[in-house]
Amino acid sequence: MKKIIMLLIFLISSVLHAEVVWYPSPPEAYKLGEVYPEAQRLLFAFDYGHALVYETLILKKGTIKNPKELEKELLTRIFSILENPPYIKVDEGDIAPNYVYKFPLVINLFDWSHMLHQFVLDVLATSEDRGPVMVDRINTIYEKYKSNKAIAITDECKSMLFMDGHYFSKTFRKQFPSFNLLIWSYHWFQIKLYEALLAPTKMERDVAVANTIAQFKSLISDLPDSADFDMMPETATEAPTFAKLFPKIPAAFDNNHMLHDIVSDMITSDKVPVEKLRGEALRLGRMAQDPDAFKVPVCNQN
Amino acid sequence: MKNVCKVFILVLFSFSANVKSATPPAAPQFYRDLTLNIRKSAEFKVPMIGTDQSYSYELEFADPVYKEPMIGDMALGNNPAIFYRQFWDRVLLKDGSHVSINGEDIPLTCIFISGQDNRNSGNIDPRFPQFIMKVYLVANDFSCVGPINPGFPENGGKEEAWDTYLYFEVRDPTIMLPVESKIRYRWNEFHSVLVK
Repeated sequence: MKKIIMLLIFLISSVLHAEVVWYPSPPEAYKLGEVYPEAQRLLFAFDYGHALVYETLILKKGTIKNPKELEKELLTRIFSILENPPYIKVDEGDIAPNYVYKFPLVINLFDWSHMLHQFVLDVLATSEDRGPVMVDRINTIYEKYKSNKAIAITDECKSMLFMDGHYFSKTFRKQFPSFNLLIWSYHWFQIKLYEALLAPTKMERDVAVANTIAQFKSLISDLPDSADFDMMPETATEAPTFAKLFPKIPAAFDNNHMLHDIVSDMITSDKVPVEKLRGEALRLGRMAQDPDAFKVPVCNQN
Repeated sequence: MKNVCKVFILVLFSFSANVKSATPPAAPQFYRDLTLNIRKSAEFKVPMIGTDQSYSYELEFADPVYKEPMIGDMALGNNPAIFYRQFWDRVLLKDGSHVSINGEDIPLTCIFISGQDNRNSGNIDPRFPQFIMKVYLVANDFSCVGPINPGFPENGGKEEAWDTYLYFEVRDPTIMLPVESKIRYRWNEFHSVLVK
């Protein structure tokens, strides 16, 4: 019996380089919510919001007569979630079964990358040590992320053309400008949290997180006017201290965020019919993983 | 003393006879080769009242997830030469591998095999298969973790990892005939039969 148990442990542990289940979970997993519950609940709400909009757009693809009306309707639904965000991480497959089914690679990439996002925030929020021990923990988590080559998004810097250089690009932001700014505000909040959580003392972090939440609420208070992003917010710009400490992670996050926009465009564009969605998502997902695709020698020079 | 010697010689004889009759344990590459010999394409039918449904697959192997297949021997009694061997293998599939269901092509992402090699079990009855390979052709999971979510329930999600896969068993590695086939399609399972 002991032999079988040892073998099973070996069997499970030896797939660590190819799993969308982060196993075993880091000890800090989801501890952000214990320290900053409002921030954590907002992150859960973003997941919910992303899934909801993707599912709706897939189900209505090709039949949207009045995008403005639909955007208004969607924003009303999303804002009620943002005002009363969930306490638990909702399974995306339960909210958006068609999206999950049609975008399997992209979902794997997002899931893996979102776990990295989450665990980095968890360490930043809870580490007693604010120096080398904390940095080392994040680097260890990042190494595990990178080692899973089957589903890791590259950390090489890509040009914004990766996001905007395709035959279907920018459709989402043209048809649903407010919603696009809402999504960029989500991304801004996620990366701004890294910077806030790097403040040296707990008191300063508390203030910085509260300010970030307040700024986020202000950004989305009167869309599209309240958020004046001309372009997707980038990690190194919004979180310079974080980018200096962890120079490879910002590009991995930005590439993830660009892939979100690509998915939004693909689902919205009439140039990508429903039957082509799966294949195109696979192609673009592989591009997100490819370190050479749209690579730029200097980061953030888009 | 004479009796003890007789018993010892008898035990030694029977042990060596067993060892001789058993096949030498295979190297891991043997099981990897079995994996790579799985049929690259096949068509199945789901018999249904009214209208049969069908599905087919095509696959190409990419990189293995395990450097070499996992092997575990379960000895029977005290004779180390008599054992059942279990093996597991996982290989990713190249982009373009797919299962066609009702005109929809869904990506096949990896193959997972849970097998048993009974050649050293001492049972040579021809009705008892010398090999059983349980084959999962997994769709939609590029990470290839399953069939059970290793972190469940602490990590959240569902207990089973794969919503869509093709399953069959191979009991004769010479012809690799898929038997006991079924399809799990978005959590619904249907038994099927091989067409070609």
